[in-house]
Amino acid sequence: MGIQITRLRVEQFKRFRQPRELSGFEPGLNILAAPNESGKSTLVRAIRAAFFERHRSTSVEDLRPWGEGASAAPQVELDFLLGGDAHRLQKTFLGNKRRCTLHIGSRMLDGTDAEDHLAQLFGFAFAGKGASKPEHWGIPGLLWVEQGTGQDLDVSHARNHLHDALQGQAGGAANALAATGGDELLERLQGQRNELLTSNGKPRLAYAEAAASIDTLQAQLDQLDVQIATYRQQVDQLAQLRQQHQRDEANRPWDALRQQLADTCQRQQALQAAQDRLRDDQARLNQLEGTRDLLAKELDGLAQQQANALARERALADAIRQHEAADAATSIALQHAESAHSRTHVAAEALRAARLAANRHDLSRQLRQAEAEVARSTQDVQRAERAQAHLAALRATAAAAPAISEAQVKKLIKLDRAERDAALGRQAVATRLQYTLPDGQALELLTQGHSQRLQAQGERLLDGPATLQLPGGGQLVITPGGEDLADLARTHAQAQEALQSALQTLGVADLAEAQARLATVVERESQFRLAEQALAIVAPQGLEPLRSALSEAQARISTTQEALARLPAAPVEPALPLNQAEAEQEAAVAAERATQAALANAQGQQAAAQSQRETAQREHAAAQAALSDPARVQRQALAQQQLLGNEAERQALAARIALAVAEVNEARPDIVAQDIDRLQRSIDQMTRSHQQRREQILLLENTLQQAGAQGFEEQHEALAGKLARAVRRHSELQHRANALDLLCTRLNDKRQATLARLQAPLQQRLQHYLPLLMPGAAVAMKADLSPGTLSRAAQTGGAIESGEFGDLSFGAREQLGLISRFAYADLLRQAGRPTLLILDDALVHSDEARLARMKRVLFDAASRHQILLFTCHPEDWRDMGVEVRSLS
Amino acid sequence: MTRFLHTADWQIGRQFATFDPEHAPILAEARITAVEQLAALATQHKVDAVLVAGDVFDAQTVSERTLRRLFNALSGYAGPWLMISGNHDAALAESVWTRARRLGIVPPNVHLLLTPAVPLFAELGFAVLPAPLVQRHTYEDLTSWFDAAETPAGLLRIGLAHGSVQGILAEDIDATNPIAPDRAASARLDYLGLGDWHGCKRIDARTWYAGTPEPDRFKANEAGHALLVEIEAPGAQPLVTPLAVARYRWQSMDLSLQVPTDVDALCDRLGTLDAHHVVDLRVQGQTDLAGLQRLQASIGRAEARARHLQADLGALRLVPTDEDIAGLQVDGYLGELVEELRGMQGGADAAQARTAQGALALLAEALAQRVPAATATAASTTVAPATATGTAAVATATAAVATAPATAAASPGAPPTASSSAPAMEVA
Repeated sequence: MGIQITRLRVEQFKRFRQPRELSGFEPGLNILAAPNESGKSTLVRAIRAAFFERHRSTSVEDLRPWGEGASAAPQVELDFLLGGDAHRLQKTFLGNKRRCTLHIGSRMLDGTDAEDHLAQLFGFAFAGKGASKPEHWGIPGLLWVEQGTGQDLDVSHARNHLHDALQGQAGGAANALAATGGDELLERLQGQRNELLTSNGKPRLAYAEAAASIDTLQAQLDQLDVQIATYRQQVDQLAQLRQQHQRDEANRPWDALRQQLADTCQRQQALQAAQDRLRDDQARLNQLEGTRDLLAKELDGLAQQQANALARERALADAIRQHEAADAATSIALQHAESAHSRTHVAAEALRAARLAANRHDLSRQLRQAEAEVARSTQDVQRAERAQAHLAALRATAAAAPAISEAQVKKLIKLDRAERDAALGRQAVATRLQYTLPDGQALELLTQGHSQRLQAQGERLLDGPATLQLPGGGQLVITPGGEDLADLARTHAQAQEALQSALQTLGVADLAEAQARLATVVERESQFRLAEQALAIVAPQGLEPLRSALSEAQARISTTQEALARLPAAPVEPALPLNQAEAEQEAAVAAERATQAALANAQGQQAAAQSQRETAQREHAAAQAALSDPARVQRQALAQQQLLGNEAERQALAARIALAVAEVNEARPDIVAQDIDRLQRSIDQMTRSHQQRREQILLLENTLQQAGAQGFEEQHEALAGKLARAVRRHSELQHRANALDLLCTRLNDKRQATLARLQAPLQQRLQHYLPLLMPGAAVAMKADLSPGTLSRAAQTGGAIESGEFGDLSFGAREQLGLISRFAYADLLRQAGRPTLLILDDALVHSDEARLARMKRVLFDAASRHQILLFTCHPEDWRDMGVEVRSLS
Repeated sequence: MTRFLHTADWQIGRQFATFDPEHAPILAEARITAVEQLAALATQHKVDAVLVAGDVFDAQTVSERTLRRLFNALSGYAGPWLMISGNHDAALAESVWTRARRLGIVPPNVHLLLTPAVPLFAELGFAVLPAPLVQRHTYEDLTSWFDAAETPAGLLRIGLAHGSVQGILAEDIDATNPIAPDRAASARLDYLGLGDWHGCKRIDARTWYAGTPEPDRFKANEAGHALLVEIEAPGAQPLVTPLAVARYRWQSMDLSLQVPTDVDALCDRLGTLDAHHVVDLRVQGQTDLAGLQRLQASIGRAEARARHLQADLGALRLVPTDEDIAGLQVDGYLGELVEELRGMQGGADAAQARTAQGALALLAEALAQRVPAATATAASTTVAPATATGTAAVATATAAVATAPATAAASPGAPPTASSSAPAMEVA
């Protein structure tokens, strides 16, 4: 059904406050050019508002003219031909004047009727509330491209319309492709499926409940199984307990033990008696042993007394013998002491005589010594006096001779050398006056006031002006040359003077004399020293000590002579040598001292022996007295008798005890006691467990009675039945769910596949345009009817390249988007839908080549549809074969 | 002439809890009723004693009420009831028997033979050699003492035992509680009454399993009887007559459907079920859509009549015929899906095949429920005769299926007409 807009008028609408009318629209392409901000978009908005917005809508404030108050009523008037009928749509928005009318020929629709009619016709919907949004726009939303959205292609809102169109297109083939009622069937099956399964295939509601119920029942059943198992186990336990109980009840095993216990107790009592007796016996034995010890001790004492007496007797004899021996020893010692004393006296006399002789001898020797010393000292004194006299003579000689020192001579030598050097220097410079005069002739030479007489031959050195008195008068004045002659002469003179002075001081005529004098001095000094040495040898301490030594020796002679005179006269017989006498005397004294000590010792021993003898005599007497006591004899006899009796009794008792001990040891009372304990415990244990078993039996019986009354097995069967039913139900539901799921899945797949086949006509229309834009290219439609994969020959070669629509460049997407819209429009037109295309500033991103191609596409599409192309680049569209209408 | 009524395996206390809670108590109750029936038979046949060869109770811990009810049920026969314990009610230290005694509800004419000792019933002319179970399981022959047991001459020697006769019963029977097959001979018994095997079975002329008087398993082994045993004198061959006691007939129906007439046969069989039937139905093989729907309807009806009917169609493969598919009026991808599911049914993956079958059934059901539309008129008229022999339910489904495409075809320009939905409405 063709639609052609013929006239558009707006008033008080956005940019246009004043009425603005456009008419003379072509049935095909209409290009409306206007610069930016000159009302192009307002017109587009006006057309959209005329269709999409309810005239009653309050959400269209944007339609008001700019800067106008609330009184303004935006108004759109649209004339169009549809199916050959002239239509006029008039719509006023906002305020009190809002209304809508649609005139179709002579017919008129008013208000929402008019709006709904248009919506149905054009394939769009109205917003339930608020402003119209893309999801309401349906087919026009697809075909009316807003500024800058050509590249976005959202088919979803027009999809159903396209589908309807496609179904219509398939025509007779539809029944073969689609399934009649398929969607409804799918919906119903889906509903059934969804009663059992969630969207992602999990069980829900009854199906889920069935599974849960299985779990619950199984859990209950498991619990019951446990209870039944317990019950059965308890029954078995009861049987076992009863069996044991009955066996014990019949056998009474504790009775035998009791008998055993009684026997053992008896044995223990007998054993106890034996043990008591043994204890008594042992006590008695201990007593007897005590008594025996006492008796033995007593007898020992008595025997000791006798032994003592014997010992005392022997001791006494010993003491007497010792005493006598001591007496003998003492008398011998006394004799020894006396003879030693006399020997000592003799030795002392001899010693005195020896000492006298020695003294005399000594004095004689001293006298001889002193006499020798006097002689030697006298000689020394004489020698010393001679030496001293020699020295004194030398000293006198030296004092008479002049003295001169070696240093003085050396100085003199030096002065002499200086004078000679000066004289030589003067001679060297002085004018030499050599003369040879015939004998007798003489010449007088006057120099420096001195006059000399020259004769014969010789020479003179003139060191100053000299006048030579010639014989005959006249004179020759000679003045020596050289400037320093005067100085040399003066130096010479000084040296001469210093020499002379020194010579004078020393009192010598010349140097030789001085040297001779020095030699003399040296000689004399040497002699002097020799004399001194000679004196020193003879009298090192000087003369005086020699003299005193002489006098001392002389004094000693006189003293010694006096001592000799005082000594007694010498005996006739010669005395012993002193040291021999001394030795003999010492030996005698020592011998005497030893004999004295021996005597004292002997006397001490004698006294001790006597004392011991007395003691022994006393003790012996006492012992003899004790032995002779008659009571003692009696006591000894009694003790002997008692000891015998004791021994007999003790032996008998010991035998009995040994027997009893062996007996008791064999019987092992400790083990017997353990036996009793063991038996007692066994009996207790046995009877107690018997009792316990009985109680356990009662308890078990009671428990089982109660459990039996609960009818576990009946419950079990009931539950198992329920479980089986639940499993069956679950399995049925599962089967149903699986079947439904299978059906739904398959149906859905098939429906989708079928839809894809339905898209073929659309594909065809698309392929009508696509080669104009991209020769050799093909586009596959997606299930939602939007273009999907684009494939074409690669620009570089023959290979086919392909890519998703969404991945294409902005420009390519816009171009492909427009082509798709043209294809939709073709399809819709074939399905009898009005197809108006509005392109607001489309293809501005296309390059020149592509734009040229798109123009061919556009031109072709315009041969079937009315297209309103709004642009702000009129120069781009001058080759479309239609007028580019300016809006400004 | 001495007469006995030989019975066993009463299994009092069984609850059949896996069954529908509606049916289970009735089946449990039937066991008590069977005992009452036995008492009546014993009285009727003037037997000298009733021999109960073990498993009187199904469990040790049955409720007191059950206990009391059982002993009450014996009141219909005043003669001696001789009971031994079986594996379910072994005479343990604490057992159903001790409880009964404790409760004081064992009537004096009920002799609980719970120890291997010989009670003499001299005035009645027989001695009993009981082999009660005193443990849950035993691996020795409890009847071996019979051989050496002496009884007064002139009295019948009647053995009572509970267990498996060796080498006679099926292999899978529990090997516990063995009984020598020649025990009657070796122990010089006039009759050996056995319990444990729930079917009525003759081992030899003197050795019989009485079986349970009221069946409790889906096993075709002649359960549901008691044996009337008549013995002229010691040494004489007993005359054994099975007496029917059972109230309910337990049947296991295991069938394979291959051709459409198999479905008919099964439906017929199901049609014969009545309130005495307890049935376990397992169907495998394959059927078409109509067959399946017919079978389901038949099962539904049988369930309403029978005491209990449990049906397992899990192994049955739904193989829609081409007519079925045509009848479903599916087109486009729905048609493809149907074909796919049919293919998957025969796939190697058993679970997937089963799921596919379920899916196919669900799909068929969903298609059948589609709102009828104008274009369906022709289809419904052509399909309806073909399914007329089936059940009403199937007719409904088919009609619905046939009318279904209307929804899909509906478009804004083609409002549904009133006439198009009419035929379907009528059928429904």
